[in-house]
Amino acid sequence: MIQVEHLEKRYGDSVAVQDLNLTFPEGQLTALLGPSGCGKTTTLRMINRLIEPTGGRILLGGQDTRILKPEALRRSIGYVIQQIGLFPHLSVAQNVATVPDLLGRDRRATAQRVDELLDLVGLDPAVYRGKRPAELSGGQAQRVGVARALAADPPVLLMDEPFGALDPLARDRLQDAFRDIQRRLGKTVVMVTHDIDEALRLGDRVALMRAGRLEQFGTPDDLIHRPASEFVRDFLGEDATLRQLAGRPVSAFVRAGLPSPGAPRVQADLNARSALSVMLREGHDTLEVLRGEELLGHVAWQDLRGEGHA
Amino acid sequence: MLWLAALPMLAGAWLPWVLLRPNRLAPGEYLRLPPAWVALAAVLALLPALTGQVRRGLVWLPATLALLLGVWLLGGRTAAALVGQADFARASAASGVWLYLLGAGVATYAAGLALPERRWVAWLWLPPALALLLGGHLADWSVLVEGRNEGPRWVQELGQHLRLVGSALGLSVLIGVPLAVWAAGRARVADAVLGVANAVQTLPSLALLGLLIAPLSALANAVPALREAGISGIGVAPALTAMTLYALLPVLRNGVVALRGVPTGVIDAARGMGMTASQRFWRVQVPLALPVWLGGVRQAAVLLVGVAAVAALIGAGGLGTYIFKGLQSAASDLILLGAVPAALLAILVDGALRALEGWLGRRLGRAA
Repeated sequence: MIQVEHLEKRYGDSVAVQDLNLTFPEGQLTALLGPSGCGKTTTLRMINRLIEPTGGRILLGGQDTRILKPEALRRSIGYVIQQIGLFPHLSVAQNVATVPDLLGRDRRATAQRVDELLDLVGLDPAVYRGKRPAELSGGQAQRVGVARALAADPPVLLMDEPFGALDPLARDRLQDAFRDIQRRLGKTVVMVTHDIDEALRLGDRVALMRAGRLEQFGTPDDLIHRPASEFVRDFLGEDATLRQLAGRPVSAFVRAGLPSPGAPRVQADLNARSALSVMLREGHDTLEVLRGEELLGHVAWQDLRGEGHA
Repeated sequence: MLWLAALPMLAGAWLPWVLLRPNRLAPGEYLRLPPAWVALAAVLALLPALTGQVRRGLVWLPATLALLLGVWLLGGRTAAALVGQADFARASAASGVWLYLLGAGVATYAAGLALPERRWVAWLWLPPALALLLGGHLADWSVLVEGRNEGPRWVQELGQHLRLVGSALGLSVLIGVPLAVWAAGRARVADAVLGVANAVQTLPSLALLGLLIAPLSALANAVPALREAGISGIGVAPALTAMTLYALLPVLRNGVVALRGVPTGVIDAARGMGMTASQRFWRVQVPLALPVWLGGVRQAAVLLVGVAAVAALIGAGGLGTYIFKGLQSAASDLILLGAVPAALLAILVDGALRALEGWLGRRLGRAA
């Protein structure tokens, strides 16, 4: 459990984070969400003291983080960043072993731990342990990054837009894999993101920040259905709508009757969000909906929009 | 490139090969190769290019043979020219030799480029050529005759040359490395330091040597202890100072660029995982900066081999002594006695440090 109390960071006259009070629950993934410049990364980096707060305090497992030397504190906290930051001159295994080595752990035990972790993140140790970072794809590299952060078995994991630099396919896969890992290991995770989908998909809790302050803290459902302010509604707005569309088949929106001539055809079990994408891609505001060969009717742009807002 | 190399070789085979003079300063007569040798030389001139049309991987063989033929014929023809001549007679290499060796050298270099995995094949000519040299086959070549006359003095000057280069390089590394580390973390300091080093580099070496004479002799006059330590306006002290200043720029520039080139994400990850500042420096920054940094040291070393030759002008000694002595007395053999070893030295230093760089680059996970 991480408790943040009256946390503040000033740079001269400008305030990056202001009177932030927040408890990151044990064993859960909290997404720190917000527009750029809202202070989410500053907050994250204050937890492992890469940035020193100018006010307030942070308690980790009930202890003030300032009683430890910064290096000792950081070795007890996993850290994953967008640029991945693998050491290019070291092998995958040596990268993963970084923190255990810094802690002076037994080499043989560490080697075994490295293999377990590579397995955990879905990389065959026999194939990958000797590779250099330059030989990995972006997705593989960040899997190694996650394994490296977990190497010393820290109770807490800090992640700064960990999947932000990956292509959409790799990102989806790694998000799923990471969700699995997190459920299995029960780590307390703080993940900075500006990707609303990612926050709503991975977060047990979402902390939405704005201009250095906490705007709302709650479950994804809380934020979508019970936004605390106009800003929260605006920030999640369209994406929340799309998320809802994504959960329903296009057949739920079908009207009887013929579509305008030349309308593209889609199958009834397609999700409504994808149907919207087809409209955009084909430049048509109606679609012909079929089940197999049978014509069910048509669906129009307004139907999807209207239902989403309802 | 291979056909381009064939041209000077063909011309070289046909042009005069040896200049025979009754003594080292008198005018002489030019001797061509006998027709049979011209024919063989011409065939070997075309062979690398012809081989290149069929198998680029095999070009090194005819190119190396051509280079060795050039060296061998130089020895053989100078010896033949001196038969029946007085002791003072000199047989020098004429334009044909130089053109032929130039072409063969280019072909050999190109052969090495064609085999990126086995660059060393471009150096296969070196052991046999050294064997010819040490075995006395080239003994009648005028440059080596001069060298024999100079004997131990030449070895001494070569040693002095190496000492100058080594000391200046050592000093510039001692000064440049900490300075680069200090400057790399501070953008404005880095700009200023690089600016100053750049300015020094634009000064002609001769001017820099001249500029140092006045302050150093003033210093030596003011502080007798320094004068007793051998410091004065001319000689080794100003030469070493100037050379160190010269070598500083590449060492500094590459150091700053290499250290600043370490990806910020890597540094951030190292900090975030709890490495101390010195752990970050030794375990992350140094290994990642080293290959590029070493490139700067290599540039400095090659530069210094050249500048050290100029240092002879202010009495610092070295191979330059022969170059200037030869220039003054219009004795080209003396010039070559200084210039050829200096050039070979530069090539060897470059090759050796390049190999080290490549090896480090591969070991440290960056493509060489």
